[in-house]
Amino acid sequence: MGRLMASDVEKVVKLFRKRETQESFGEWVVQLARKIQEKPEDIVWFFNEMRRRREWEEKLQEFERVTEDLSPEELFELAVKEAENAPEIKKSTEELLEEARGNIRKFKRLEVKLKRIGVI
Amino acid sequence: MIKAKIRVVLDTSILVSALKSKNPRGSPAWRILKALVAGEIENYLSGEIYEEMEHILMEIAEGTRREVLALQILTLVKKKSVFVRPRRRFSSDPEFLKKLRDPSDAKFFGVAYAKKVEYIVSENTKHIVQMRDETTKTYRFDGRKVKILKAGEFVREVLR
Repeated sequence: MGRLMASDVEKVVKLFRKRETQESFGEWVVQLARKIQEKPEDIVWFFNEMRRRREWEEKLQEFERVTEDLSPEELFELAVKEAENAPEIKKSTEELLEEARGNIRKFKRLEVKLKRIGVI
Repeated sequence: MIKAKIRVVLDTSILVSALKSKNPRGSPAWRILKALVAGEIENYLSGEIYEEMEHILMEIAEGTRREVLALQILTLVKKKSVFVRPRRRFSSDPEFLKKLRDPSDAKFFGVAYAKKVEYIVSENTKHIVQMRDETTKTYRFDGRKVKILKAGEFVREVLR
């Protein structure tokens, strides 16, 4: 099993306490990856990304709720201050966009395949 | 007389440009956000566009010191934009897609066409901006036209 999977998958497998569960989970990821012709580490990446998206959605909803009483002008001024104090991003807008879109395309590709076989 | 708002479609790249800017008071992307907040422009978007904006800003900012800023930008854009459901889908037009090179950008043209907007504002030079005729900075649809400007051009030529 160890030779078949990348370290990212092994890290997740080790989250399970029982050895039998570790083995069955690892095996499941490998089988699933084979079935949809993807890498096991990408299966783990996909489920992690699903969790990130859900958490981001929740953060956004919570942020909208707590800023409900602020006017757009007030929120804009807060955002300007936040931008002035944020650390610099060295990459260009196009580089950032390209990288983010690459992840989105990968997520959609895996989502379609996993839906097709009824996993999600 | 009430001055009519300028009708635009802002591409996700404008939000990314605002998110990465260190100088919001001098950045064209921030000037555009200010115009949106002040009601100088009316931005149209679809659920599909907003979903892309949400995910792109998440990919860039989640877990970093720009996370709050990303949430602020997304909330502002959502609050001040008009959501529409375009009927015509340019993503199923092979000729159009051949020229555009990235099918995921077709949604911006779908909204621009549906709402007859005057401008698409984008920093995406590889796909969206390259669609325009460089002399007129205009893209012609079936019987309609839209000016495609980069953020700096839009600020100089339209907002001033």
